[in-house]
Amino acid sequence: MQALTLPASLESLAALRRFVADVCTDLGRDSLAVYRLQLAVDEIASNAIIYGGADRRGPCTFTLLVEKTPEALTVILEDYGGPFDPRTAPQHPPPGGWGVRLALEGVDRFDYQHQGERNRNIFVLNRPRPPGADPGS
Amino acid sequence: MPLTVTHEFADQALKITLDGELDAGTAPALQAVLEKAAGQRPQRVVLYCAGLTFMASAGVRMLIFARQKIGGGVRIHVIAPQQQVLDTLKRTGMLQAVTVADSYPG
Repeated sequence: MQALTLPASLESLAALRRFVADVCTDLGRDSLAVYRLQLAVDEIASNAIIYGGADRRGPCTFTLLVEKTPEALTVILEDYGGPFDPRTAPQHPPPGGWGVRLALEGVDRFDYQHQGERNRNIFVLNRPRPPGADPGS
Repeated sequence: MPLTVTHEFADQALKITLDGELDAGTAPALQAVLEKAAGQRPQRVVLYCAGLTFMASAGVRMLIFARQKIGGGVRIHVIAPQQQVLDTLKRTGMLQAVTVADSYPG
């Protein structure tokens, strides 16, 4: 498993995005899919700072964990801001809620866990199916 | 990559060139330019985006901020956006609110 830990600050966003791009090099998805994953991680990390106080709580860090399987790439963003499940965010008219929507709609699957004091935002991009693969498998 | 914001005022247009990445951390640099220039009441805001490689929702909010700060009648032109920036504009519905072109004047 690959991992990166950085100070929880807006100045870390670019490094988070670079790390995401680096771990996607063998994913087999197009550049737009990778960009949307970068954007998803960026938006949730930004919210953790701006609304969750992740830069003032616990160890004040972001950690990105990466799991790769033959089927998918999973990126987990951990922060110590206030508990917040983006899936249950209230619906606001634009521009409210844009970041959460971009995040949730930008990946193939999104999940959230709260463990201890940590928010764990889980982003999944599927790998392309090999030609001739059984769609039901 | 940090964001570089350069601007000039010409022909009643506020022309801003963006290079780098526009996220929640770098958007204040653009906001500062918009605030400073709003007093000159430009009729158009022209954003040259060929060098802009990333735009988060914070960047889209800057487009709304420009409209609110300068006035509802101001037209916003987004020039030569890369595919990624265009994708953010599309997915937030902002593509309908701006004029996208390869060059200015188009």
